[in-house]
Amino acid sequence: MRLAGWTAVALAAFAAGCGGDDGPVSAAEYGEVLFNDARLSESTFNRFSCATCHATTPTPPAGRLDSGYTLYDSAFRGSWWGGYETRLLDAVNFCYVNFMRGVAPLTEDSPQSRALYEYLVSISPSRDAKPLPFTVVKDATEVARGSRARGQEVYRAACQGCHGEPHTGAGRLTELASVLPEVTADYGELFPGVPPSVVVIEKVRHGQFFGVGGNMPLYSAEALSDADLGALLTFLEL
Amino acid sequence: MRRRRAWVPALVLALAACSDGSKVDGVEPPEDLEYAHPEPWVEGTFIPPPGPGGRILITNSLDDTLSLIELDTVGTPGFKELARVPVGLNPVELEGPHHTAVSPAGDFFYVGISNYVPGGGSGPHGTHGTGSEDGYCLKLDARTHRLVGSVRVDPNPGDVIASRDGLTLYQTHFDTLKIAELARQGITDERRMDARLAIIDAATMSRKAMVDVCPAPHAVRLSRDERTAYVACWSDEVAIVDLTANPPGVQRVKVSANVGTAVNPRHAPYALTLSPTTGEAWVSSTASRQVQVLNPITRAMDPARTVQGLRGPPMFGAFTSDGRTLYMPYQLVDALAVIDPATGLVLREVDLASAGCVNAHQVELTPDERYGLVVCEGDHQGPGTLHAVDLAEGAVVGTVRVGLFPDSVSILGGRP
Ligand code: HEC
Ligand code: HEC
Repeated sequence: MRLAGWTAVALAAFAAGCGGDDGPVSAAEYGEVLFNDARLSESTFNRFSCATCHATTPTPPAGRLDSGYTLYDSAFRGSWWGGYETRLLDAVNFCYVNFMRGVAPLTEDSPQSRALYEYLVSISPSRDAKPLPFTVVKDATEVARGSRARGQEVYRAACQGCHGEPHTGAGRLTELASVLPEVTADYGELFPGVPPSVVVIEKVRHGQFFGVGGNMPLYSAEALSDADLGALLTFLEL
Repeated sequence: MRRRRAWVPALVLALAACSDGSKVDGVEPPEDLEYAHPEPWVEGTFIPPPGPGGRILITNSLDDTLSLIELDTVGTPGFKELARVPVGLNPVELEGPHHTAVSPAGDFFYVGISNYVPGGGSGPHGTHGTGSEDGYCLKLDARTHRLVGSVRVDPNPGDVIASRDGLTLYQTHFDTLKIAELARQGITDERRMDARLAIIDAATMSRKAMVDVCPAPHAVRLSRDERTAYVACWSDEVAIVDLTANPPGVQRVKVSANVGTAVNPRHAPYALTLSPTTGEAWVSSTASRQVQVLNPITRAMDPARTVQGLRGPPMFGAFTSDGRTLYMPYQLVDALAVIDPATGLVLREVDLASAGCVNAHQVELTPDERYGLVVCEGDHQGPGTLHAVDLAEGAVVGTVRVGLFPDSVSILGGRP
């Protein structure tokens, strides 16, 4: 019975036009695939992969401003999330559950989890990497506005991947990501007396946390400076 | 089996070649994965588990951490913070760990999470940590400091203690916001201001009972036979909870002949210390700066022995095991009063302020009763402190700076 089943799978694979290749797959290679694939999460609503928010090069590529740090040299930092996660898997699972709508945290020993681990280790050559700071901006308050040109760069580097083109949302990663800045049109009604810019600042600084809701990531003070946030608001005409 | 294995390499070759050049097809695990690390996910912060010497745990309520200090360093030059570990469910928001209970076997500890952190964050969606959210009781493994269970409780968890067998937890809710909210609505019925005592099964972390006790109950202690719980109530009362009844029965006793209300207490009981010999409850009243004595048999206060004349609000005290001395930290001048329970008189005081104590909050005695460990909140902006007081000398012999707003000290293991 079983033999017949396997044969069928193998035949189907060949039939699909796949030729021969070299040997077994290393867990790190498979982990890299998972890192870049939103289907790591079983949620049908999820469009985010780890790579949506994390670079993997020593310094993030130009034109990218991510909410999360690059995961190059992340495995041996010793603690993560500003010291509030003291186990690597917990640091990953916080993202997996909160941002990627993972139904249950990754277990220690599933092939997916082990492969992701081996991938993170494979991009972490330094055994004595230091923990990185993570400063949550607790109070959402106005910031000084900056240059429109810089604001456009910031939008492209930080927001556009998920939200698509301003005003149209063209090319956005998910329909769930609102069209910016048009979404703020209702803010006067939803938050009477509060400038819409402050609602956007809160969203960027708190993400889904502090009772805001949704599944957008938050930007710490390290991830996005107030100066860049101010420039972004100028660009969004807020 | 053997047959199936024989097929695998062929299959892997076949699958590996799929999806344009990549050896992995989609997110399904390839059959023949080669692992380089037999033990995944080992990376993290390593903190040695508590040894036979025991360990001191301090909750830092404004920075979501616990300070750990080895108990056997008390009174030695090695008295210092071993580690500061995060506690809570979320690395982003401040969650306000309040008191800690330890299991008698030293294998677990329990932390009340209040979600009430003044200055915890604000925005158009509201101020975070207004105290209207339900809290949690968390269960952590003492060896790894990792969360192993949790249960949702009411808003503003106050004190938490464990039964002697470690199977049951008792957690109060110091819900003064509920009092304020009802008062604002013009409601004076104090029964509507009652907050509950959560009785929790520690093994399963599930609620066994939620008992209305009184307005803003804080300290809770069990009688020696564990049939009765005594609770300090902000409403100028002590609640006596009969744990043998189902549901548990509650009697409230006013702490003095001269009392106020839940909204306007004259005494404002906050903490409570039980005599190990007489079973009397010594109630620390913050507004009147008195410690009032409840007789467990007559269930009446004994005003003749009320401790008077403290120069600040008394907090969480500790008795020696012979019941002959009560050590009581108090605020404002920040001192440790040494009280004779037979008379209620303050015999002497140990100055804590000169050692850097601001807002003394609790004293716990080391198992050999040579030292009192006094935790001081600090000014809530900078670090708080833990002081080791040599009880025979009447002097501070060691000070450790801990995290922000520490407000409880407990000892894990190390019992003789
Ligand atoms: C929607 C954005 C988002 C996604 C998707 C995401 N993360 Fe994160 N991640 C963050 C943010 C924000 C932080 C906090 C800032 C930081 O520490 O990098 C973080 C933190 C981390 C950290 C701790 C880094 C450190 O040193 O503090 C690790 C490790 C991590 N993520 C791994 C992953 C992995 C693996 C995945 C995929 C399973 C993933 N993340 C998916 C946003 C994301
Ligand atoms: C990883 C993807 C991602 C990134 C990056 C991202 N967002 Fe979002 N954002 C979302 C999603 C998804 C939503 C809708 C769900 C939610 O509210 O979290 C959202 C919602 C919002 C909203 C709230 C809309 C509403 O419903 O009121 C604002 C404002 C916003 N984003 C602004 C930004 C800005 C500004 C940036 C860049 C600094 C940014 N976002 C970056 C995914 C993202």
